Amino acid sequence: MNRRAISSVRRRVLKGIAAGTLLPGLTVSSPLWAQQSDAVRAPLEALVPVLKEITRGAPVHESRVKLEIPHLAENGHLVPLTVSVESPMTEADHVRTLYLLAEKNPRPVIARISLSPGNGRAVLTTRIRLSGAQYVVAVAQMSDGSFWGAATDVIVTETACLDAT
Amino acid sequence: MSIARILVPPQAKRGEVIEIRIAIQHPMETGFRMDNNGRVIPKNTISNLLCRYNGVEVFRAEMGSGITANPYLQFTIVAKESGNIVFTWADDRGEKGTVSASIQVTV
Repeated sequence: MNRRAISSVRRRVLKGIAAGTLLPGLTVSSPLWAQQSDAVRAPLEALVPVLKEITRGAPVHESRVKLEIPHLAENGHLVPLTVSVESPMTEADHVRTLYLLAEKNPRPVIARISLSPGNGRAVLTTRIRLSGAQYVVAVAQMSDGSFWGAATDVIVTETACLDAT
Repeated sequence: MSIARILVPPQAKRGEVIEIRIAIQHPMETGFRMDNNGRVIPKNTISNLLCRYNGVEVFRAEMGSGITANPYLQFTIVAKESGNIVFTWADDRGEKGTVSASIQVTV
C-alpha cells in the first residue's frame, strides 16, 4: 500500500470513529465499511470486539485525543508513544481511563491507564511493542462517561513477534 | 526484586504541574517466546502499577505484553503539599516492587 492509500484509509477510519461506526459498528452493512479493501478490513475487524467491550456500544468521538507516534518504526520491540487528551482535569471533568490498543498485536489491549484530577494534565508517554505495521488506537473515557479516540497508522519494518510467527 | 528508577523534581511550587518518570527493570515476558528447549516461557508482565501521592492514588497502569521490556512511563501530577510519591507494582509471578521519592512543595 502506498503512502497516499494509507492516508486515505486513515481518514476513513477517523471518519468511522467520528460516526461511532468504528466500534459497535464498523458495521458490515455500512457503506464506509463496504469501501474498505479486504486487506484493511480484516485487521480492523480485530479491534471491533475489543472496542465493544470497552465502550459497551457507546460512540467514540474524534478529536480531543492526540496520539503522537512515529509513522515509521524501525523496530517493533520499542516504539515510543505519547497520548494527550484535551481536558481541564478538574473534579467535574477529567479523563478517567485511557486505553491503548493495537489491532494486530496478539493481545490488542496494550495498556489501561487510570488517571485522576490530581494529574493536572492528561498526558502519558510510554514505549510499546508492535507486531508489524498497523493502526494504533487510543481511546479515552471521560468522567462523564463519553469516549474519545484517535487512530494512527505505524509502519514497522521489524516486528516484535518474530518468535510467534 | 526488580530495580526501578524514578525522576521527581525535588522542589515545586504549590499548584505546579510536575512531570513524573519511572523506569522499571523487568523483562515483560510476552508468553509467546520459547526457550532453547522449545518450551514456552510463561507470560510475566507488570500487570498493575500504582502511584500514590501522600497516600492518595493518582495514577494506575495495567500493562500487558504490548508494553516494552523495562517499561517506562511519564505522566504529570499537581504538586499540592510536601510529601512522598510512592510507586508499588506486582508482576504475574506475584513479585512485588516499590520505589519512592520525596518532594518539597513551596508556596
